Amino acid sequence: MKWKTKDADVFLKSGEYVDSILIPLTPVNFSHEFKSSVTMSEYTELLTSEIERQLHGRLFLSPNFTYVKNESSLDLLTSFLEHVKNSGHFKHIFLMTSDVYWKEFEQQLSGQLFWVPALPLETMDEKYKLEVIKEQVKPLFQLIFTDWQRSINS
Amino acid sequence: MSKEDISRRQFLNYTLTGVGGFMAAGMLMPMVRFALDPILKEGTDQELVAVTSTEEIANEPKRFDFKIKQKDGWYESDVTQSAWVYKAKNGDIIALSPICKHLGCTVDWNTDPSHPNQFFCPCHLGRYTKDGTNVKGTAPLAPLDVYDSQVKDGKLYLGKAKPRKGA
Repeated sequence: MKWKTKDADVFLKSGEYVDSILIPLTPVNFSHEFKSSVTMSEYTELLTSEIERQLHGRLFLSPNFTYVKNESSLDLLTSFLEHVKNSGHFKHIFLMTSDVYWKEFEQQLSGQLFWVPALPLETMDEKYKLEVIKEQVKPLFQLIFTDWQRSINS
Repeated sequence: MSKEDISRRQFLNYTLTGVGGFMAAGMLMPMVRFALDPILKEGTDQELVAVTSTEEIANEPKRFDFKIKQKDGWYESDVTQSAWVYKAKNGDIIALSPICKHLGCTVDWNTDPSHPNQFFCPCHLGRYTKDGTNVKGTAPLAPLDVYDSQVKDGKLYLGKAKPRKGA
């Protein structure tokens, strides 16, 4: 499900089936890291939208958590996650980013972090691009399914 | 031979009605066109899209991805869609939409080890038989949609996915 009114209505009606949220973490930088922050954001969005497409009925794709990297970004994300958690809707929280910055805080985040380094897809052929994205998300599905499985067993 | 006479008055009458008529038509035409437009509009049925060559279609369902143009207001975008395609016993080519009828996840073929040869939805454990019929007792309440399909010059073309009656 996406951050759209149409999906929001479905969510309000069948919210009990939607117990997972995927939050894309996308950096913004208009100075020296401009291009790389765009590449990272674009790549993360491609992956997350593909995951959302396949798991539409159980996974909510959150709007991007967009940040300017500084000492307060972690606090901002933490309070955002706190809100998500306290809403009571989501048992499974997944975070997706291409920014290695979050890797060192992995343990402090209440949610599973998927860190996937960005590939320069801009020069790639459209058809080839689809293949790459498909291959890239495959292992991520495994991680999500394992997490879902765990909650059934426990 | 007598030349038919035409009076100045008549001549002016004819020309003025003529020119006036053209002007009136010029004004009325767009109005009429506007009023009739919804009738003249072609059906919004999606165009058929070439998906794959028929040689690649086997008896086992195989997933094919293709792109369609979607219009959202003025914004046109490419949207990826998938189809599970296989050849039925009587040779018909069947293309099923992979969108689970429960809440819209993408179903997979033969991925649930305890229920082989079925479509399986990983989200809420919904299952469908090979022809897309939902298995009773699982989450979905309707069979998978079927794509309008057409084979032309050895290629499979797919159109819109159409819903079917529930089992």
